[in-house]
Amino acid sequence: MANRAEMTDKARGPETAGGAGMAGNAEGIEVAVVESAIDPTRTLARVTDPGHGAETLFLGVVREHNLGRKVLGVSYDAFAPLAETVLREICKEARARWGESLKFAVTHRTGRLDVGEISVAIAVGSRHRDEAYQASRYVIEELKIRAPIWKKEHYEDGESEWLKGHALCSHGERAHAREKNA
Amino acid sequence: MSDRTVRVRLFGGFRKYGDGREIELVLAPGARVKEVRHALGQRLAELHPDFADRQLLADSAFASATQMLGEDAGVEPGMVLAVLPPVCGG
Repeated sequence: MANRAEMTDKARGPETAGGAGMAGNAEGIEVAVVESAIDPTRTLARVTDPGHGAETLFLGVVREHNLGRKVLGVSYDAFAPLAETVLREICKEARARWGESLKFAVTHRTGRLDVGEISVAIAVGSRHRDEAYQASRYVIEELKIRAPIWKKEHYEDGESEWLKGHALCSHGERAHAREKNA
Repeated sequence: MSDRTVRVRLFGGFRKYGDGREIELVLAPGARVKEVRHALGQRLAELHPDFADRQLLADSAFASATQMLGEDAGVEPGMVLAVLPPVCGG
């Protein structure tokens, strides 16, 4: 497949990061990779629906330790256009599984974050709580192994290290692997 | 720039190589992703004699801006690819 178009890995700035000026979440799925601080109340507001009785909000935050080392901060890198495509696919899968009425808003941060800052926000709205909880869990677990996002931890001793993660594969290979494991 | 040049965007653990953004490769006609992987390893070793991330390269995937690319996917001149190390978002 040819791809002659210029690609950018640039995450979105604050003007499009789930801001009040965005169009409504009419499609029911809204994803963004952003450079600026995540406002979880804005992410949650994207899934509001009068037909829903439940809204969940999951926040991933930077932890001050990992594997016995003191962590001062984490730098997130992302291939933003593909990451947003993958996040949207994951949300569509969750909606197909737990109900077409579900709404999703997923925002992932890039750049240097300090301990306690929000790295990812996942909001799910649904008619009842059970499907919102399950869909939210599905989105974060799949995000961790499928979205082209990486993190580099910065330690107290001055060292930094890219964390080991899950190897990606093509869609065809992934589907084949799933069939084998079914 | 050769008319057989492709660009490979760098992410995660590959950011420390080249200019930290992308590497240009000149490929033979009819090259596929597997040849890109091989050429990228050679180029990184040329640029960085101490290049020691061959396993990371072996564990990485390739993609366009819109989709993952399998090893046998064709690569056309001028194409922009991305090399994607194992991921760990969230």
